[in-house]
Amino acid sequence: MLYIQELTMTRTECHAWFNVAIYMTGLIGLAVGWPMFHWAAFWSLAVWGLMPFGLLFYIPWWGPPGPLFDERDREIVRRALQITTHVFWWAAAGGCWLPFLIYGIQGHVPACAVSFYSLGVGLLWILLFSMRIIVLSRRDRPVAA
Amino acid sequence: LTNEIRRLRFENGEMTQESLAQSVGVTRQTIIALEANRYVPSLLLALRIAEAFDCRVEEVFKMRALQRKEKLEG
Repeated sequence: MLYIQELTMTRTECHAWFNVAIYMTGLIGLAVGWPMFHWAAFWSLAVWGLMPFGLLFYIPWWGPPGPLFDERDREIVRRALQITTHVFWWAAAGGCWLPFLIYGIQGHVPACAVSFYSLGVGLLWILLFSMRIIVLSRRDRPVAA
Repeated sequence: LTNEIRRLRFENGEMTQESLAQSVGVTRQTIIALEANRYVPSLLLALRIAEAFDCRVEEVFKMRALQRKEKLEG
């Protein structure tokens, strides 16, 4: 069977790079398409829908034999989760207060804003989590076990 | 924490990082990180590595201060 014999990155890091690449492709597409297509350029964000396919990195027969996820990966993911969870909660808490600041205490938040905000916070979480994994995988100091 | 993994690999028939990784059940990137002193392994992994080289854990992993003291005494 044809498979990649050697990986220069762990599968976790490959997945993180995949997420960042997808994220950036959407944003670059929006920036490039805006002068020509204006609001229609937002369709470039549809590539973010490819993110769930990152799970394909964990198919066992793809890549060299051996564990898909080892103790170092587990440690990196644990540390990445720490910071992203904090940022996520700050963003979520900010989201609760923002409508009052924008619309006033008597104001009404458009229903669509809630879903867009939830999606935005979720995407921010994925981006931060992926970037933190990349940094931790490459940083030049010991990672405590 | 420093280690002698690279030296022990070459002394054990020039064992590759990949084959050591497979024998102890981790990815090759973990062995790379260990050799570069960029990762402190769990006790279980340290024991497995020592077992793969058929030696004691203290012969594979050393505290940096202890190693310096040994060099001065030696």
